Amino acid sequence: MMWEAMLREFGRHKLRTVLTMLGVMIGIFLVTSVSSFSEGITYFVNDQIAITSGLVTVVEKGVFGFMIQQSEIDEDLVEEVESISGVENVAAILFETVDGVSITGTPPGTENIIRGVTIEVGEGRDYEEGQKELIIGTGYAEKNDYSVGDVIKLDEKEYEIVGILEETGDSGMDNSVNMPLKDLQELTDNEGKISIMMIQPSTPADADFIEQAINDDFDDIQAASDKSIMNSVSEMTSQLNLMTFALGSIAALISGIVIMNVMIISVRERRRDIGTMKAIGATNKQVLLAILLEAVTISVGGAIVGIILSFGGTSYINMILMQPLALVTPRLVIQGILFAAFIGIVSGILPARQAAKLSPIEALRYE
Amino acid sequence: MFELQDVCKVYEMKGVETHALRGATLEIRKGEYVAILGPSGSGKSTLMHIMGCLDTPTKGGVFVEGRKVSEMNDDELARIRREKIGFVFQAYNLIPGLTAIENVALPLRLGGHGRGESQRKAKEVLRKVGLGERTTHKPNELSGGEQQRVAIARSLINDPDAILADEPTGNLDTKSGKEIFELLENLHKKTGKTIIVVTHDINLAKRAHREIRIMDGKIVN
Repeated sequence: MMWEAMLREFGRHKLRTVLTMLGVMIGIFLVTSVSSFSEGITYFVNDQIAITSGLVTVVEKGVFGFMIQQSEIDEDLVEEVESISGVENVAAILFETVDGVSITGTPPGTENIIRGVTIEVGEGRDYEEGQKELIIGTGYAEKNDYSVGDVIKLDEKEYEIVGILEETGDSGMDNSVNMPLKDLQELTDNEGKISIMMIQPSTPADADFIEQAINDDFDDIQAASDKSIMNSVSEMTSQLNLMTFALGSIAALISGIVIMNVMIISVRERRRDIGTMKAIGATNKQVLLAILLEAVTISVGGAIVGIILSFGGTSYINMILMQPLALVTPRLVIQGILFAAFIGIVSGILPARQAAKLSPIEALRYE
Repeated sequence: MFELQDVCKVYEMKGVETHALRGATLEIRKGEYVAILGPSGSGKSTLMHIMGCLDTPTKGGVFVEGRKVSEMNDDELARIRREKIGFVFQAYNLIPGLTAIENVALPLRLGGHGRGESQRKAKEVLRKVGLGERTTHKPNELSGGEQQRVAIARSLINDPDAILADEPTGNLDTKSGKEIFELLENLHKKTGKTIIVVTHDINLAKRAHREIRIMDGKIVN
């Protein structure tokens, strides 16, 4: 087919092709990276909200809502929080990583607040304090081929898996490793420290009051009900989406103009070749499609490189934040490629029509 | 095969009208070997372009195999150029990025034939024009004579009824030019294809079976 011959032209102008791709590449990289935050945060929060439904989350003051693992609170505050009216139960939770394993510590008896009422130990039994016992999620068990009775070494000490949670479908819960709070504090030298609190209100209506009371009366901690977390998240993602839209429009406009410009020059340079092809039997439609395809190939090629870069970029950001916050989902990949194809088609139409309309004679004169 | 009735062609460039053809009438029958002879600027290339459906007349009727060209749409014209006529140009007009075999296969590929089949046929035709060994060379790696052979192979690939050659030896030295003419003559002898050669070289034109002389846009013999 004709486009094969046309695509060969790329090889003859490598630098120009790469530079033309650059615009789309940077554009798609930026758009995908920014969107990946909005995607990641939505996933993360939906995950969290599923578990914390109806609960009030308490973190260290000033800690951004999605970085709760960075939060550090004095355990003494638990009692004070428990005395607030409307508080039914409080779970003190410590997140720590030991030998690369992320562990959640909760005092026995309060696990159901964070697990949610329906998640129970499916196999084995619950842990007991001071016995070096663990409960793990089904996903974690499968991934590492663990079963009840197996022993895991953490910081040179042996811990026994006494229970495996029921499968929940929630990736955070299914991949969790849990031990009693006291044991985790001792293992990680965090006596008297916790990461966050989860408060179960007496009635759902109490959540707002508890949130208000904590935010007004405490200097070191802040509270958020899942409703207000949801609100702030949707506000943030809508701002991110607006930013994506602005970035995307500018990127599309600039890279579209660049591609169109290069294609017009390239068609002009190849008048003779295009005329020859028409003289030996190429139809207008074949010429049109070949040039369009060339523009789309440049654009989509740039987009693919941009998407690959955004994978690198987001993992770097996640590494710095120590949270898998930015997420390049398949939806973003497809969206980026379709968007680039659209840019290619729109910017290719004018040069392609110019090429198709060339008379074979006009073109043959260019000698 | 080709019939022109009182064909006029006027070009307009920056408001200045140039009359390339002023009422040319002629008929070329199937299987003829014809030379169109005339000084440069006489309109001989225009005549050939119009016969070959590359250009349209300002006035007059053009018939290819009895069909009126002005009544065909762009796709039909492209099909005639691809299947009925083979073109050979003075400057060879090969596609620079493609190898000899790919250039020769291009008309087949444009007609929707598969890659393997097209390349096999192209190789065969290249062998016929004496380039069986240079199929993977790019045009800039071939001599002028060789490039013109590739162009002739390309014009033959679809087994057209007529070959239209516009000054095919114009860019070649005497020896290569003679070889190209011999190739066209042999082609005519062996296959009986209609061959129309535009040239300003009287000696070469004499080898054709019929000479059509053109002067100032008019056929003079």
